Amino acid sequence: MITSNTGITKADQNYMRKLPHIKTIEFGTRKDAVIKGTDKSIRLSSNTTKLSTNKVVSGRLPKESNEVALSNREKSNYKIGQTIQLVNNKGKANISGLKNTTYKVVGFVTSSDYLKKENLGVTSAGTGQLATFGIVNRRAFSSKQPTVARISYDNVHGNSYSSAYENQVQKNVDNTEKRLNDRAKKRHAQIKAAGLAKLDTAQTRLNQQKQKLSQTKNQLKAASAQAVQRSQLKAAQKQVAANQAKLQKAQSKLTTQRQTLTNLPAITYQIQSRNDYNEGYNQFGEDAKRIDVLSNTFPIIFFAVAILVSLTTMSRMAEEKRQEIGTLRALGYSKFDTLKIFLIYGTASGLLGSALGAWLGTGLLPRRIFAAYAANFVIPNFQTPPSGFWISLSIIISLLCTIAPAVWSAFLMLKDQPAVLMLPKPPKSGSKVLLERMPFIWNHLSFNYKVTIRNLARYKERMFMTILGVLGCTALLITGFGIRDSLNGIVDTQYKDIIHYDVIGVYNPDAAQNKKADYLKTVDDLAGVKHDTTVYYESVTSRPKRIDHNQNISMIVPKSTTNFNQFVTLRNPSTKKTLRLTDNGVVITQKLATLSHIKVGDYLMVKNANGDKHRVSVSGITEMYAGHSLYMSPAYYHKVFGHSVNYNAKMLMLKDRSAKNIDRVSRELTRQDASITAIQSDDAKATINNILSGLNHLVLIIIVAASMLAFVVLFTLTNINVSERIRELSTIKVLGFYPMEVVMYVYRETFILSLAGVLLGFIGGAWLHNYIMQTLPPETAMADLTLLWTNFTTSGVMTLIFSIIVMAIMAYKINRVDMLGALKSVD
Amino acid sequence: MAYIEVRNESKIYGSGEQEVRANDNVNFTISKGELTVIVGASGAGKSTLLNILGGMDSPTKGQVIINGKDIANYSSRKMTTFRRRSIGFVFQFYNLIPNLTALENVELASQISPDALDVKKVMADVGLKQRMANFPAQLSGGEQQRVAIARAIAKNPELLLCDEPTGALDYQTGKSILTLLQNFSRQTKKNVIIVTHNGMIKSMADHVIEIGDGKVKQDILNSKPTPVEQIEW
Repeated sequence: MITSNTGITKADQNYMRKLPHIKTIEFGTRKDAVIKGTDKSIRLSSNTTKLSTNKVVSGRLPKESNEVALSNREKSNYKIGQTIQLVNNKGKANISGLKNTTYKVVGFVTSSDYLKKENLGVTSAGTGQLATFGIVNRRAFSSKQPTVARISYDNVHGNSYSSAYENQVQKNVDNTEKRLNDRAKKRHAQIKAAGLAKLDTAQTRLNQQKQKLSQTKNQLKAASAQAVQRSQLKAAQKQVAANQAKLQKAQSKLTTQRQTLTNLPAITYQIQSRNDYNEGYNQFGEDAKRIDVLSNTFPIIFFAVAILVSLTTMSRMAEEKRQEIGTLRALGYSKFDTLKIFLIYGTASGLLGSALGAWLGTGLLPRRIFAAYAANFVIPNFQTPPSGFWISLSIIISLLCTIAPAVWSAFLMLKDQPAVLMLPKPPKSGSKVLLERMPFIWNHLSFNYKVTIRNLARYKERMFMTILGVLGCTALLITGFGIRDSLNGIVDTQYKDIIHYDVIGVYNPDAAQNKKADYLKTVDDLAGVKHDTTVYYESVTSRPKRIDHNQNISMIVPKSTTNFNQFVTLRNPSTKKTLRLTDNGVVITQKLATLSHIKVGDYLMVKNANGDKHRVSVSGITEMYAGHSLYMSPAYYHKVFGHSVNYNAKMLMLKDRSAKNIDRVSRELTRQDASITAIQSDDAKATINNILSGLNHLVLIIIVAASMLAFVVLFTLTNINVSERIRELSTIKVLGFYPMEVVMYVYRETFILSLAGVLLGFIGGAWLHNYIMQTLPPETAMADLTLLWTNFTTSGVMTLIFSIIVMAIMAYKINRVDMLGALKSVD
Repeated sequence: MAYIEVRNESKIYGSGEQEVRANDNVNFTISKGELTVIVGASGAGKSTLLNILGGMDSPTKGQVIINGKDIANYSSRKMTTFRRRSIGFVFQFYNLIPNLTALENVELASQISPDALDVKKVMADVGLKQRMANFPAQLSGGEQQRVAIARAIAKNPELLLCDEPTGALDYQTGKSILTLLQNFSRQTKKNVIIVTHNGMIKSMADHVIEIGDGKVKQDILNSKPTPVEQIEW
């Protein structure tokens, strides 16, 4: 998309049409205004027919110049047929560039240009953030020259967000950018030259008239000497005086015109890829990437545990059928016939489970997760086509897990003679453990610990599974809580320790002297300002290697480098030592440095809106969690750009830092003629909060999943343990063990394993959290990687509570065991 | 003086039509230090009686007074304490903990008993001095039953209850086990009750109680018990 600060002429339109690789180009106009009686800024765009078309949800598109179709999000605020009144920044019903200020609402639309629900983009109207949008007829604009061009290329392949697509688009944009800049400069010169030429001819004509006038004057003088007809003479003299005044006026007008022409603001043709001009598009992509990261990490843990659980359960099932197998074999069934039951059972359970999982996995779950994630977006038509590849893969894995262990155990049994099989399987015999070689420890252990230790060694796969399950549970919990705390921490650190300013008011430094003075006076007179400082602000971009789109960077040059720490604390991320702005390099923010693989002493290439590139030396890297920034001293600015700083902004620190007050101040500033925009430091706060609210759902999902994991694993294993050792339990019960002693007899090992799992889970959780927090945040933000000790204790305690709940259920079961029955029977 | 006194004891399962009387108004007394054999056919109700004597089950009606205390109405907790302190059990299927060595299996019982005997000495007494470090699976059936007896004895119980102790053993081994039990009774003057369906071993006991159909059929005191070695069956 190309945006221009003035109308795009016919000639330039033709030029753009002939740019290389253009498939379709569509010109349009847009204008920002404020909705009367609110703070909401609205962007009115002309309707498009080819690119970024608007989908009508209800009503129709505007036909007349006084009709508007609003964003579908406004459906709750307006009705079709209602009128909407727009005003400019000063609250007056007079908006330059728009014919009307009152529009009739005729419909509601959605647009792919506006994917987000709030903060649709930066604007010069209202508070500086675009709140909504509307579609109007082309005739609603007073100028016929369009200001926007939407382009589609013919050489791009692949889906949106794929790197093939994004790379090619960016390449095209880079390519076109240079041509457009040259064109803009040329046209600027042209306009200037044409204007000057016109002024010159006007001047000559004026000069001629002046000459004529002085001639007439002289004639009149001569005539007065002759003193003929006094009255006539008087009239003529009067006319000459009037003419002189007129000419003087014309002269002064010409002079001011000449002045404005020399100060004519540069024409910019800014070309941006979708990632840059459509904030929602970029964020949605980033969110999707985040989901990708998570979905590539978490399910592995679940998969591993699910596989282990089904392995154990199925092989145990086969072992329980031992006597049945023996009987069948004794009756003369073939080996394959006896195996059939396991084949059928395994296949049936595997297929049933997979079918249920496929149904949940393609329908309900993605829909729920999407709903949580897309809460900030307007994305219609969420589609979840069943994925053949993933479904078949999971069916294969689950069938392997259900059939293989059962058939394998049965197959091993079938090697024995039927007679042997019909006898109960001798209990797995005990064996010595390593600890016994250390009699000074071993001899001091009570039999309770001895039996626990022996059991741990006896059932190695179960030991492994318990540890793994508990480890997974703890690690997931730590990660879940950690993610939330890390992001919550950002908001605090970012706005309490690092960013102290609240608004940057950007004005036009080339505005007329009196308007500029008005602006600065407004800043001085603003109530509730704690401190203010003069800075130069410019939004520049940089494209790190291996990343397919530009990073937006706020370039800030403070006039006074000494008190700048009052507004933004520049400090080393690890040592927290304060950084100073030097005259031979810039300070960049941490995440930008990470993305660009830049260390102190390296160079960074930045590009301004005109596409001019500059190389800056990095002298420091500062702590910052959201947004990229670049800070430099005025002296270094001079060195890099070759001219001294033309300060264009005021950085304000407010006494009342509430969003409402910041909005009020922003409005106050944008109301000024010289104002360009107001940048609020808490824009990033909204971004973080958006991520946070999305993550709260995720954290909940993680916690639920982790708890289920712990329950399933502990329950399955303890259940197997109890049923396998029912005779042991009955025996010690008969021997006079109290109920709690009996439970602990079997549960002590689970408990020890759980503790081990929790401890290992601490390590795993710290690692997982670190990994996720490095990959999860969007490119413009980063998270605090430190884990709070409460994350560990909460997760550990929760896991142990799960373990205790399972123990309580088992205790109930154990205490109901019929000890006599178990002792009597042979099995 | 009666050490064990069972009065009008009944154990009834179910009710109405399905009512089954496993023990039906059982009465007997056993004196201190007697070796008692309770004999009866399968399903006669002798195991039910043993369970009630051992504090593993409560009678539906009647009194079971052991050493002056009526255990018939004990709570589950009290019964456990009773088992823990006063009773040694020997089962038909040994019920050793497979994951503990012979010695540890005995320690299992001695550790919960307040006045337990020296475990190693008990092991030597039952003739297992050399096999203490073996796991149950490495022992023969007779040896396993000896471990089980050692486990019961080590608690130093007032009463040793044996449920078909020779049921899973061959003739010779069974005989040696019974000898062991008889000697224990003679040497310690403690009560041993053996439940069996094998009427041939009646003659080794001081006191024989015959159960049939849940009732006491015969209650005979034997003033001249035969040493086990001389009994043939």
